[in-house]
Amino acid sequence: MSKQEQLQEIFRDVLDNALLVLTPELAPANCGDWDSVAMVQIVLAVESAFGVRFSTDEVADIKSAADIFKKIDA
Amino acid sequence: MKYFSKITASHYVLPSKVLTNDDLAERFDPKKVKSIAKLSGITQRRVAPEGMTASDLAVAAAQRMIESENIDRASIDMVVFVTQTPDYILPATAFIVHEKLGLSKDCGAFDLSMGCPAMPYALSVVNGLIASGQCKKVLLIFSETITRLVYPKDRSLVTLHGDGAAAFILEAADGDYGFEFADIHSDSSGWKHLLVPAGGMKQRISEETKKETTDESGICTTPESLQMNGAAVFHFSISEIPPAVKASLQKHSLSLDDCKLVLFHQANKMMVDSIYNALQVPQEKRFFFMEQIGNLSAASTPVLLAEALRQGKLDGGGRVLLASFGVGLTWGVFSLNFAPGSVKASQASTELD
Repeated sequence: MSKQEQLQEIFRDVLDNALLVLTPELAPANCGDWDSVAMVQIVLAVESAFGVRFSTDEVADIKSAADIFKKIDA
Repeated sequence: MKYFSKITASHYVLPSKVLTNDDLAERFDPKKVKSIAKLSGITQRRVAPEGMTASDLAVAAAQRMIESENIDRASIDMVVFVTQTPDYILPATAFIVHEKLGLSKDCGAFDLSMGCPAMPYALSVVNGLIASGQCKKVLLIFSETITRLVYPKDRSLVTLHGDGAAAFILEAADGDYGFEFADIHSDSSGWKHLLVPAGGMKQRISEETKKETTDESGICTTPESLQMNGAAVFHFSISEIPPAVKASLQKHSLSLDDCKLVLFHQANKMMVDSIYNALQVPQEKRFFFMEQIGNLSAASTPVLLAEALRQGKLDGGGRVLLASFGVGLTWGVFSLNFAPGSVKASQASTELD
Protein backbone atom coordinates (compact mmCIF):
# COMPACT_ATOMS: atom_id res chain seq x y z
CA MET A 1 0.00 0.00 0.00
CA SER A 2 1.43 3.38 -0.90
CA LYS A 3 1.83 6.15 1.64
CA GLN A 4 -1.05 7.97 -0.06
CA GLU A 5 -3.30 4.95 0.33
CA GLN A 6 -2.24 4.39 3.93
CA LEU A 7 -2.97 7.99 4.77
CA GLN A 8 -6.32 7.83 3.00
CA GLU A 9 -7.27 4.81 5.13
CA ILE A 10 -6.44 6.78 8.27
CA PHE A 11 -8.60 9.69 7.17
CA ARG A 12 -11.43 7.38 6.15
CA ASP A 13 -11.30 5.68 9.53
CA VAL A 14 -11.09 8.81 11.67
CA LEU A 15 -13.65 10.78 9.68
CA ASP A 16 -15.88 7.72 9.36
CA ASN A 17 -16.21 8.08 5.61
CA ALA A 18 -15.39 4.94 3.62
CA LEU A 19 -15.68 6.81 0.33
CA LEU A 20 -13.42 9.72 1.20
CA VAL A 21 -10.84 10.53 -1.46
CA LEU A 22 -7.84 12.10 0.14
CA THR A 23 -6.26 15.03 -1.62
CA PRO A 24 -3.69 17.51 -0.32
CA GLU A 25 -6.39 20.18 -0.39
CA LEU A 26 -8.56 18.42 2.17
CA ALA A 27 -8.66 20.70 5.22
CA PRO A 28 -10.72 21.53 8.32
CA ALA A 29 -11.95 24.55 6.36
CA ASN A 30 -13.63 22.36 3.72
CA CYS A 31 -14.31 19.21 5.74
CA GLY A 32 -16.81 19.73 8.52
CA ASP A 33 -15.98 16.50 10.34
CA TRP A 34 -12.29 17.40 10.59
CA ASP A 35 -12.37 19.19 13.93
CA SER A 36 -9.74 19.34 16.69
CA VAL A 37 -10.79 15.91 17.99
CA ALA A 38 -10.32 14.39 14.57
CA MET A 39 -7.06 16.29 14.15
CA VAL A 40 -5.54 14.64 17.21
CA GLN A 41 -6.81 11.22 16.16
CA ILE A 42 -5.35 11.69 12.68
CA VAL A 43 -2.00 12.88 14.08
CA LEU A 44 -1.75 9.96 16.50
CA ALA A 45 -2.64 7.45 13.79
CA VAL A 46 -0.09 8.96 11.40
CA GLU A 47 2.61 8.89 14.09
CA SER A 48 1.88 5.24 14.76
CA ALA A 49 1.60 4.16 11.14
CA PHE A 50 4.58 6.05 9.75
CA GLY A 51 6.90 6.21 12.74
CA VAL A 52 7.01 9.99 12.69
CA ARG A 53 6.64 12.42 15.59
CA PHE A 54 4.85 15.75 15.30
CA SER A 55 5.95 18.57 17.55
CA THR A 56 3.26 20.64 19.27
CA ASP A 57 3.97 23.51 16.87
CA GLU A 58 3.66 21.24 13.86
CA VAL A 59 0.27 20.02 15.08
CA ALA A 60 -0.80 23.63 15.63
CA ASP A 61 0.29 24.54 12.09
CA ILE A 62 -1.55 21.77 10.23
CA LYS A 63 -3.89 23.57 7.86
CA SER A 64 -4.58 20.79 5.36
CA ALA A 65 -3.70 17.24 4.40
CA ALA A 66 -0.79 18.71 2.43
CA ASP A 67 0.97 19.47 5.74
CA ILE A 68 0.63 15.84 6.75
CA PHE A 69 1.84 14.60 3.36
CA LYS A 70 4.88 16.83 3.83
CA LYS A 71 5.63 15.29 7.21
CA ILE A 72 5.48 11.68 6.08
CA ASP A 73 7.49 12.44 2.95
CA ALA A 74 10.19 14.28 4.90
CA MET B 1 12.15 11.41 50.82
CA LYS B 2 12.07 14.43 53.07
CA TYR B 3 8.80 15.80 54.34
CA PHE B 4 8.36 19.44 55.24
CA SER B 5 4.69 20.18 54.74
CA LYS B 6 1.35 18.43 54.61
CA ILE B 7 -2.28 19.20 53.85
CA THR B 8 -4.33 19.22 57.04
CA ALA B 9 -7.69 20.56 55.82
CA SER B 10 -9.58 20.91 52.57
CA HIS B 11 -12.81 22.08 50.99
CA TYR B 12 -14.14 23.24 47.68
CA VAL B 13 -17.02 25.32 46.36
CA LEU B 14 -18.77 25.47 42.99
CA PRO B 15 -21.28 28.01 41.69
CA SER B 16 -24.78 26.56 41.75
CA LYS B 17 -25.61 27.86 38.28
CA VAL B 18 -25.47 25.06 35.72
CA LEU B 19 -24.96 25.15 31.94
CA THR B 20 -26.05 21.86 30.39
CA ASN B 21 -25.38 20.32 27.00
CA ASP B 22 -29.04 20.86 26.16
CA ASP B 23 -28.55 24.58 26.85
CA LEU B 24 -25.58 24.57 24.50
CA ALA B 25 -27.46 22.69 21.79
CA GLU B 26 -29.77 25.72 21.58
CA ARG B 27 -26.75 27.96 20.96
CA PHE B 28 -24.58 25.81 18.71
CA ASP B 29 -24.96 23.06 16.10
CA PRO B 30 -26.26 20.11 18.20
CA LYS B 31 -24.05 17.72 16.21
CA LYS B 32 -20.94 19.67 17.18
CA VAL B 33 -22.03 19.87 20.83
CA LYS B 34 -22.54 16.12 20.84
CA SER B 35 -19.12 15.55 19.30
CA ILE B 36 -17.36 17.71 21.88
CA ALA B 37 -19.40 16.14 24.70
CA LYS B 38 -18.27 12.72 23.54
CA LEU B 39 -14.63 13.83 23.66
CA SER B 40 -14.83 15.74 26.90
CA GLY B 41 -17.23 13.57 28.87
CA ILE B 42 -18.72 16.79 30.21
CA THR B 43 -22.51 16.87 30.44
CA GLN B 44 -22.80 20.08 32.41
CA ARG B 45 -20.60 22.76 33.77
CA ARG B 46 -20.84 25.14 36.78
CA VAL B 47 -20.79 28.78 35.79
CA ALA B 48 -20.32 31.77 38.07
CA PRO B 49 -23.22 34.19 37.56
CA GLU B 50 -22.65 37.85 36.77
CA GLY B 51 -21.07 39.52 39.77
CA MET B 52 -19.54 36.39 41.30
CA THR B 53 -15.75 36.47 41.15
CA ALA B 54 -12.86 34.18 41.99
CA SER B 55 -12.54 35.83 45.42
CA ASP B 56 -16.19 35.05 46.21
CA LEU B 57 -15.68 31.38 45.46
CA ALA B 58 -12.40 31.33 47.35
CA VAL B 59 -13.80 33.04 50.45
CA ALA B 60 -16.75 30.66 50.54
CA ALA B 61 -14.50 27.59 50.30
CA ALA B 62 -12.06 28.87 52.92
CA GLN B 63 -14.69 30.24 55.29
CA ARG B 64 -16.65 27.00 55.34
CA MET B 65 -13.50 24.96 55.85
CA ILE B 66 -12.33 27.22 58.70
CA GLU B 67 -15.69 27.11 60.45
CA SER B 68 -16.52 23.44 59.99
CA GLU B 69 -13.05 22.25 61.00
CA ASN B 70 -12.56 24.76 63.83
CA ILE B 71 -9.40 26.21 62.35
CA ASP B 72 -7.92 29.13 64.25
CA ARG B 73 -7.81 31.79 61.56
CA ALA B 74 -5.51 33.95 63.70
CA SER B 75 -2.82 31.29 63.28
CA ILE B 76 -2.83 31.44 59.47
CA ASP B 77 0.35 33.29 58.52
CA MET B 78 0.13 33.33 54.71
CA VAL B 79 -2.59 33.28 52.06
CA VAL B 80 -1.51 32.07 48.64
CA PHE B 81 -4.17 32.67 46.01
CA VAL B 82 -3.83 30.87 42.69
CA THR B 83 -5.80 32.10 39.70
CA GLN B 84 -5.69 33.35 36.17
CA THR B 85 -8.96 35.22 36.61
CA PRO B 86 -8.19 37.74 39.33
CA ASP B 87 -10.82 40.17 40.58
CA TYR B 88 -8.60 43.10 39.50
CA ILE B 89 -5.41 43.63 37.54
CA LEU B 90 -4.12 44.89 40.87
CA PRO B 91 -3.99 44.56 43.81
CA ALA B 92 -3.57 40.81 44.18
CA THR B 93 -6.88 39.09 44.86
CA ALA B 94 -5.24 37.45 47.87
CA PHE B 95 -5.72 40.75 49.74
CA ILE B 96 -9.45 40.74 49.10
CA VAL B 97 -9.61 37.19 50.40
CA HIS B 98 -7.44 38.16 53.39
CA GLU B 99 -9.82 41.01 54.26
CA LYS B 100 -13.03 39.02 53.86
CA LEU B 101 -11.72 36.16 55.97
CA GLY B 102 -10.62 38.55 58.71
CA LEU B 103 -7.06 37.26 58.74
CA SER B 104 -4.31 38.65 60.93
CA LYS B 105 -2.05 41.57 60.10
CA ASP B 106 0.75 39.08 60.72
CA CYS B 107 -0.54 37.04 57.78
CA GLY B 108 0.94 37.84 54.35
CA ALA B 109 -0.88 37.42 51.06
CA PHE B 110 0.05 37.04 47.42
CA ASP B 111 -1.27 35.74 44.12
CA LEU B 112 0.27 33.10 41.99
CA SER B 113 -0.77 33.45 38.35
CA MET B 114 -1.02 30.01 36.86
CA GLY B 115 -3.75 28.01 35.16
CA CYS B 116 -4.31 24.30 34.75
CA PRO B 117 -0.76 23.28 35.77
CA ALA B 118 -0.92 25.37 38.96
CA MET B 119 -1.05 22.78 41.70
CA PRO B 120 2.52 21.42 41.59
CA TYR B 121 3.87 24.96 41.38
CA ALA B 122 1.76 26.23 44.26
CA LEU B 123 2.52 23.27 46.50
CA SER B 124 6.24 23.71 45.76
CA VAL B 125 6.09 27.36 46.82
CA VAL B 126 4.10 26.67 49.97
CA ASN B 127 6.32 23.73 50.83
CA GLY B 128 9.29 26.07 50.61
CA LEU B 129 7.65 28.64 52.89
CA ILE B 130 7.01 26.01 55.51
CA ALA B 131 10.31 24.16 55.07
CA SER B 132 12.24 27.39 55.59
CA GLY B 133 10.39 28.00 58.82
CA GLN B 134 9.00 31.28 57.54
CA CYS B 135 5.41 30.06 57.73
CA LYS B 136 3.64 27.64 60.02
CA LYS B 137 0.13 27.56 58.61
CA VAL B 138 -0.62 28.50 55.01
CA LEU B 139 -4.04 28.93 53.45
CA LEU B 140 -3.68 27.87 49.82
CA ILE B 141 -6.61 28.58 47.54
CA PHE B 142 -7.13 27.82 43.87
CA SER B 143 -10.04 29.70 42.32
CA GLU B 144 -11.19 30.46 38.80
CA THR B 145 -14.02 32.13 36.95
CA ILE B 146 -12.49 30.95 33.69
CA THR B 147 -15.86 31.01 31.95
CA ARG B 148 -15.55 34.82 32.02
CA LEU B 149 -12.59 34.54 29.66
CA VAL B 150 -14.40 32.18 27.27
CA TYR B 151 -16.17 33.93 24.39
CA PRO B 152 -19.85 32.87 24.43
CA LYS B 153 -19.74 32.01 20.72
CA ASP B 154 -16.63 29.81 21.05
CA ARG B 155 -18.17 26.35 21.05
CA SER B 156 -14.77 24.67 21.53
CA LEU B 157 -14.28 26.23 24.96
CA VAL B 158 -17.79 27.04 26.21
CA THR B 159 -18.43 23.30 26.17
CA LEU B 160 -15.36 22.54 28.29
CA HIS B 161 -14.95 25.05 31.05
CA GLY B 162 -16.52 25.62 34.43
CA ASP B 163 -15.76 27.69 37.55
CA GLY B 164 -14.89 26.76 41.10
CA ALA B 165 -12.50 27.02 44.04
CA ALA B 166 -10.62 24.69 46.38
CA ALA B 167 -9.01 25.67 49.68
CA PHE B 168 -6.37 23.84 51.67
CA ILE B 169 -4.49 24.38 54.89
CA LEU B 170 -0.87 23.31 54.86
CA GLU B 171 1.26 22.94 57.96
CA ALA B 172 4.60 21.44 58.92
CA ALA B 173 4.88 17.73 58.29
CA ASP B 174 5.61 15.27 61.04
CA GLY B 175 6.75 11.79 60.23
CA ASP B 176 6.93 10.25 56.79
CA TYR B 177 3.85 11.87 55.34
CA GLY B 178 3.10 14.99 53.40
CA PHE B 179 4.20 16.70 50.21
CA GLU B 180 6.82 14.45 48.63
CA PHE B 181 7.95 15.98 45.37
CA ALA B 182 6.97 18.04 42.35
CA ASP B 183 8.83 17.43 39.09
CA ILE B 184 8.03 20.40 36.88
CA HIS B 185 8.74 20.84 33.16
CA SER B 186 8.11 23.50 30.54
CA ASP B 187 7.93 23.74 26.78
CA SER B 188 7.67 27.49 26.48
CA SER B 189 7.72 27.30 22.67
CA GLY B 190 4.04 26.46 23.08
CA TRP B 191 3.04 29.55 25.08
CA LYS B 192 0.93 30.89 22.24
CA HIS B 193 -1.27 27.79 22.06
CA LEU B 194 -3.26 28.86 25.13
CA LEU B 195 -3.56 32.60 25.20
CA VAL B 196 -5.72 35.60 26.01
CA PRO B 197 -4.14 38.09 23.57
CA ALA B 198 -5.59 41.33 24.95
CA GLY B 199 -5.97 42.81 28.40
CA GLY B 200 -2.35 42.73 29.48
CA MET B 201 0.35 45.25 28.73
CA LYS B 202 1.12 43.77 25.30
CA GLN B 203 -2.29 44.71 23.91
CA ARG B 204 -4.54 46.97 25.94
CA ILE B 205 -8.31 46.72 25.77
CA SER B 206 -9.80 48.80 22.93
CA GLU B 207 -12.57 48.72 20.36
CA GLU B 208 -10.27 46.60 18.22
CA THR B 209 -9.95 43.92 20.88
CA LYS B 210 -13.70 43.44 20.97
CA LYS B 211 -13.93 42.50 17.30
CA GLU B 212 -14.93 38.95 16.50
CA THR B 213 -12.93 36.66 14.26
CA THR B 214 -13.96 33.26 12.95
CA ASP B 215 -11.33 30.74 11.92
CA GLU B 216 -11.51 28.12 9.18
CA SER B 217 -13.05 25.57 11.54
CA GLY B 218 -15.84 27.93 12.56
CA ILE B 219 -14.47 28.92 15.98
CA CYS B 220 -15.56 32.45 16.85
CA THR B 221 -13.61 34.50 19.38
CA THR B 222 -12.11 37.90 20.19
CA PRO B 223 -8.64 38.99 21.35
CA GLU B 224 -10.09 39.55 24.85
CA SER B 225 -11.02 35.88 25.13
CA LEU B 226 -9.22 32.63 25.83
CA GLN B 227 -7.89 31.11 22.64
CA MET B 228 -6.65 27.56 22.49
CA ASN B 229 -5.22 25.48 19.70
CA GLY B 230 -7.07 22.40 20.87
CA ALA B 231 -5.27 19.87 18.73
CA ALA B 232 -1.83 21.14 19.71
CA VAL B 233 -2.64 21.19 23.43
CA PHE B 234 -4.28 17.77 23.28
CA HIS B 235 -1.31 16.31 21.42
CA PHE B 236 1.11 17.92 23.89
CA SER B 237 -0.76 16.46 26.87
CA ILE B 238 -0.95 12.88 25.72
CA SER B 239 2.63 13.01 24.41
CA GLU B 240 4.33 14.51 27.45
CA ILE B 241 2.41 13.35 30.50
CA PRO B 242 2.79 9.55 30.33
CA PRO B 243 6.59 9.65 29.94
CA ALA B 244 6.82 12.37 32.61
CA VAL B 245 4.89 10.23 35.08
CA LYS B 246 7.07 7.23 34.30
CA ALA B 247 10.21 9.33 34.72
CA SER B 248 9.04 10.68 38.07
CA LEU B 249 8.16 7.25 39.36
CA GLN B 250 11.60 6.00 38.38
CA LYS B 251 13.38 9.05 39.78
CA HIS B 252 11.73 8.63 43.17
CA SER B 253 11.91 4.83 43.21
CA LEU B 254 8.15 4.43 43.17
CA SER B 255 5.68 2.39 41.18
CA LEU B 256 1.95 2.61 40.63
CA ASP B 257 1.65 -0.14 43.26
CA ASP B 258 2.85 2.42 45.81
CA CYS B 259 0.00 4.78 44.96
CA LYS B 260 -3.53 4.69 46.33
CA LEU B 261 -4.81 7.12 43.72
CA VAL B 262 -3.50 8.59 40.48
CA LEU B 263 -5.12 11.91 39.64
CA PHE B 264 -4.83 14.05 36.53
CA HIS B 265 -5.90 17.56 35.64
CA GLN B 266 -9.47 17.16 34.42
CA ALA B 267 -8.93 18.64 30.97
CA ASN B 268 -11.37 16.32 29.24
CA LYS B 269 -12.24 12.65 29.61
CA MET B 270 -10.76 11.40 26.36
CA MET B 271 -7.42 12.96 27.22
CA VAL B 272 -7.40 11.71 30.80
CA ASP B 273 -8.46 8.23 29.71
CA SER B 274 -5.67 8.20 27.12
CA ILE B 275 -3.10 9.07 29.78
CA TYR B 276 -4.46 6.50 32.25
CA ASN B 277 -4.43 3.83 29.55
CA ALA B 278 -0.92 4.70 28.37
CA LEU B 279 0.29 4.25 31.95
CA GLN B 280 -1.87 1.19 32.57
CA VAL B 281 -3.24 2.68 35.76
CA PRO B 282 -5.56 0.15 37.43
CA GLN B 283 -9.23 1.18 37.41
CA GLU B 284 -9.46 1.35 41.20
CA LYS B 285 -6.75 4.02 41.29
CA ARG B 286 -8.50 6.27 38.76
CA PHE B 287 -10.80 9.07 39.79
CA PHE B 288 -12.75 11.61 37.77
CA PHE B 289 -14.62 14.72 38.75
CA MET B 290 -15.40 16.68 35.62
CA GLU B 291 -18.53 15.31 34.01
CA GLN B 292 -20.88 17.46 36.08
CA ILE B 293 -18.68 20.49 36.64
CA GLY B 294 -16.35 21.03 33.65
CA ASN B 295 -12.67 21.85 33.34
CA LEU B 296 -11.97 24.37 36.14
CA SER B 297 -8.51 25.47 34.95
CA ALA B 298 -6.27 26.17 37.97
CA ALA B 299 -8.95 24.82 40.30
CA SER B 300 -9.36 21.56 38.41
CA THR B 301 -6.77 19.30 40.05
CA PRO B 302 -7.32 20.89 43.48
CA VAL B 303 -11.10 20.37 43.36
CA LEU B 304 -10.50 16.80 42.17
CA LEU B 305 -8.25 16.14 45.16
CA ALA B 306 -10.65 17.91 47.52
CA GLU B 307 -13.53 15.76 46.29
CA ALA B 308 -11.47 12.59 46.74
CA LEU B 309 -10.73 13.68 50.31
CA ARG B 310 -14.37 14.62 50.88
CA GLN B 311 -15.46 11.16 49.72
CA GLY B 312 -13.10 9.62 52.26
CA LYS B 313 -10.89 7.96 49.66
CA LEU B 314 -7.82 8.77 51.73
CA ASP B 315 -9.24 8.32 55.22
CA GLY B 316 -7.07 5.23 55.54
CA GLY B 317 -4.07 7.14 54.25
CA GLY B 318 -2.05 6.49 51.14
CA ARG B 319 -0.02 8.09 48.42
CA VAL B 320 -1.65 10.17 45.71
CA LEU B 321 0.29 10.67 42.50
CA LEU B 322 -0.91 13.64 40.48
CA ALA B 323 -0.11 15.41 37.24
CA SER B 324 -1.32 18.82 36.13
CA PHE B 325 -0.58 20.29 32.71
CA GLY B 326 -1.53 23.01 30.27
CA VAL B 327 -1.00 26.70 29.75
CA GLY B 328 2.62 27.70 29.25
CA LEU B 329 3.01 24.98 28.11
CA THR B 330 4.05 23.39 31.36
CA TRP B 331 3.43 20.23 33.31
CA GLY B 332 4.20 18.81 36.72
CA VAL B 333 4.10 15.37 38.29
CA PHE B 334 3.75 15.53 42.06
CA SER B 335 3.02 13.36 45.03
CA LEU B 336 1.28 13.66 48.38
CA ASN B 337 1.50 10.91 50.97
CA PHE B 338 -1.38 11.06 53.45
CA ALA B 339 -1.29 9.59 56.94
CA PRO B 340 -4.53 7.89 58.02
CA GLY B 341 -7.10 10.39 59.21
CA SER B 342 -4.72 13.29 58.69
CA VAL B 343 -6.92 15.63 56.67
CA LYS B 344 -9.97 17.47 57.91
CA ALA B 345 -11.98 17.34 54.68
CA SER B 346 -14.93 19.60 55.28
CA GLN B 347 -18.40 18.18 54.68
CA ALA B 348 -19.91 21.66 54.51
CA SER B 349 -21.95 22.60 51.45
CA THR B 350 -20.04 22.90 48.20
CA GLU B 351 -22.68 25.09 46.53
CA LEU B 352 -22.53 28.85 46.15
CA ASP B 353 -25.50 30.84 44.90
